[in-house]
Amino acid sequence: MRNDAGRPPGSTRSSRSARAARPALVRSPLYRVLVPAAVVLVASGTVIVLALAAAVLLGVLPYPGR
Amino acid sequence: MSTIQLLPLASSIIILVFAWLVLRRYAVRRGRHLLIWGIGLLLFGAASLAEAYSATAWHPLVFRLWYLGGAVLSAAWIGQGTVYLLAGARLPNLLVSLVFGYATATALFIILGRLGLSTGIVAALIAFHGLVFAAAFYRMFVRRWHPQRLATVLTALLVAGSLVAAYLIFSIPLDGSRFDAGRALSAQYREILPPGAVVRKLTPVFNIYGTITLVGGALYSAWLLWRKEIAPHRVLGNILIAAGAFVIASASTMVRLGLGDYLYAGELLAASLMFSGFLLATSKAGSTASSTEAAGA
Repeated sequence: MRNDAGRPPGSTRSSRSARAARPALVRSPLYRVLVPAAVVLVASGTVIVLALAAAVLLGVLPYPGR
Repeated sequence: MSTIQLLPLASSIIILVFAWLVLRRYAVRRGRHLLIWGIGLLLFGAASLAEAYSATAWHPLVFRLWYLGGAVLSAAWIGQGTVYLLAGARLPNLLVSLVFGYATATALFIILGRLGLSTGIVAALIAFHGLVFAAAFYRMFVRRWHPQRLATVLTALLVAGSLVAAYLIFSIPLDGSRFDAGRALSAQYREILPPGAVVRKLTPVFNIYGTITLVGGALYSAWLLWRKEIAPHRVLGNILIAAGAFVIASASTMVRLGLGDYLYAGELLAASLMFSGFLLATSKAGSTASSTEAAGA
């Protein structure tokens, strides 16, 4: 005997439970766009900051007081 | 109460509450990453308390603790917690390999640079050989080692480096006559430390390692969960943690460029962002929506 989804009764992998596992925020278009944008922004900023720190370490940029 | 006392005092309260919550979580869950994070946060909190104290009076021990805990060690130890959390995952392993590849290349070519090579040539040699060493390090060690072994080796290196830094900062003479209680420590520490102190050259090495591991680890966790479309609270929490680490890294770099007056404000902003991120990532809604601890916090 199978249910409407074609799975045995008691199956936990119905389409309804799969939908319920995804929080509403995850489906929001704003969330889908802003998260990767924030990741790229913070990662790029960090690379710039690290490059500056490395430049100071290597003596390419002046280290005041050295 | 002045701004240079109020800002670090507020930071230290936030960070010490943060550290207490992380260590309480460690007492319940026993994740080694939580213990290392707790140590790093305690170092951060102690440094902020030292800043607040230094707005009222001079004490050489307080200055040494501030420099060791805040300027040298805290970022690296907090980042090391993330290494424990993510060791074994491919991207973090590649990041660690890059860090060690470039550290080796930098050490090698700075020594060779004393032979008379120009700065541009040394920088180009480091840029190329850093990648070569990183690839070699990844293939020979990181890929073959058990994740726990990798994390343990890195922690042993960090402990050894921390002891060396502690010895260096506690053995150098300080010029207390240059201290001015009306200025931030970050704006005057160069005048108090002896010129050319070795420990100052070590500071960026610790901070670059800490920034890469902490920001990289938090962003990696956020990206992983975002792609799996689960636990949005942890995604946002990790982005806040990464943003906080980025703010403190920026403030530290500004100090190195001679803009030390902004460090205290940067610390408060970073502490607030990271603490908010931790609270969001560990909130009930976040933890029930996800079954993976690899999301951070």
